[in-house]
Amino acid sequence: MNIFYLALEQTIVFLPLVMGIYLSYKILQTTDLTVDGTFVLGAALYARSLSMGVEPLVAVLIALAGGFLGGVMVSLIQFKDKVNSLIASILALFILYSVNFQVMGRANISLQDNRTLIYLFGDQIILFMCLISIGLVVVILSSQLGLKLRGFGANKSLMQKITSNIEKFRMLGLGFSNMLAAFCGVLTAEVNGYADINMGFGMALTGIGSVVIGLDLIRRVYRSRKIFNVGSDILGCFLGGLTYFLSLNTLLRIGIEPINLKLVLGVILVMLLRGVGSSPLNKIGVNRE
Amino acid sequence: MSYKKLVHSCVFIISCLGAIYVNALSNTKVKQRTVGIIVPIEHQALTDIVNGFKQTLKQYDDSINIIVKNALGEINIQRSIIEQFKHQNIDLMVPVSLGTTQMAANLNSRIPIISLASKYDQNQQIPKNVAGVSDEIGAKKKIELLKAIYPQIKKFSLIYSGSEKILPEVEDAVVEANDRGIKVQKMMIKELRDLYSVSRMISDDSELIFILKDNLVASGVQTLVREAKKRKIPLMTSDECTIIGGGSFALGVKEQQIGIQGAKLAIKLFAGANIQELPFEQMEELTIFYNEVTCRKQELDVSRLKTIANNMQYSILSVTQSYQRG
Repeated sequence: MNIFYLALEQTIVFLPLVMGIYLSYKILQTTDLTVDGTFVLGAALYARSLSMGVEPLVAVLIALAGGFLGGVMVSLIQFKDKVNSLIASILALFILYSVNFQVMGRANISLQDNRTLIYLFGDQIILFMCLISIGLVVVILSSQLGLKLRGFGANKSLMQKITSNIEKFRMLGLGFSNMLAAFCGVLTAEVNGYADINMGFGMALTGIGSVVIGLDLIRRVYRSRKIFNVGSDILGCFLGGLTYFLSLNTLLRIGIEPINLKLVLGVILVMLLRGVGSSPLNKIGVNRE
Repeated sequence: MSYKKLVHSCVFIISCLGAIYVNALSNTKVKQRTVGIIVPIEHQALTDIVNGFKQTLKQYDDSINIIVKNALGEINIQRSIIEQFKHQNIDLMVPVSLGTTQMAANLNSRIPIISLASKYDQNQQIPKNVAGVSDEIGAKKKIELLKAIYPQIKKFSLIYSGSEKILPEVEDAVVEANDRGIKVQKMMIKELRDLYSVSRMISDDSELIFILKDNLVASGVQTLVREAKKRKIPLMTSDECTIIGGGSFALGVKEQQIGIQGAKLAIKLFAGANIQELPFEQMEELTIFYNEVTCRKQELDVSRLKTIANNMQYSILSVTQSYQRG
């Protein structure tokens, strides 16, 4: 497969997770590593449901509900900022590891002999599912709820003056974010043909890198005066993921020694991030992190 | 025949002969075979398996191009490697471990796959393009050996991780031990850093520490060696690396042997066998590995160990830190 098409395909599968991280990292302005766990939870719930004879679409809904609950759990740990967001997500990851085991019943479930989405609807279902997740994010962020979620991230004190219970925005935001991660887990299990307890390794960090790089790329291209534009931000998430997978596949294709792969990939990402640092938008304080 | 016609006829015949010769040359030129090995993560045991495979295959045909790629534990990198091999249209994929094999088989149904060190569930159908070598030794054999060495043992502590291969083995080991009147303290770790805390929680009445062929636990074997030394109890493991690292004894297979057995399947394939005709083999030759220094400190009689190995028809091998594998 052509490098570009391969990267494109991988990005389509990965995009829900990048958008989930975008919700927590950029919109809620909180660091949430729970996605490493809810990604596996989504795949686990989906694979286990299928192995129990549940219809694929129902299995997807079960996985999404599981991911949402995972996000609710981490928001309850953080409740009223009593636990730092990073610590809370690490604790949630701890808990989710056991939960994922309980869900799967073993460490690896193969989907090979099951009626999966791809089996029923063909490969194009993955693109269709990805488009649904994009539509969901656009609808949420374009609504009043989206405005309040952004308000929660940008200025909690102000939000507290406007509405009495701001914790529900944290809960909903992290719920949606982790639901998208679980959805990515479902798509990954579909494409790879199995769910594995260790498949979430490195997902959050890759996703954060994709969000940061992608948003900067898109702002450089458009140089939009608008501070927030959901369409361009989602395009940015997509470009970030595509950049990561293009770099990864190109490095592998040109024969970089595997042992040095992460070093070279890391240097490329650092160079891109240094570029983010020199972005004019950063200088005027658009990125608040 | 005029001189001009003669020259034209000669040129024509020479051209035809030349074309036939060039065609014959191109037909006799054998296409170089390429084999792609996919390793999920960096680990000494996996490196030994790969080395065994490479050496055996190179002895068969030195011209075979063998590419080894390591996914460094990341599912995205693993997928890219498999797609790259597909793109290169290699002749054989060799994934190491079950997860890697599942992904390779799911993404590719055309290129034959010889899987190393993996085991499919009994109720799971092995894909048509997959053959391989399973490195699993039943828990029964390990518990039998343990009971033969320590007939009076009442309880041991089993430390394990959540890897896909390990959990069913843990359940089997507990059943086998209970059947022989031995209690088992099960202790699971999620990450390597948990190993220290878990090792401190080993019961005082535990008479032995036991680990399976578990890559995560094996990475931190030194923690268990120290704990076993402190408690003056033996550490039974399931592979040679952990015995070199200071464990007492193990029932296992030589890692290289897994690669060698896999390479023999690859040779059959290159000799013309159909991948669907090739089996998913079990390892046949089992070995008791022991660390002479540790055994001496724990007053474990090596000559008795040799007698037991002989009775149970296992080969026996002394390994220490100075021992060179392969």
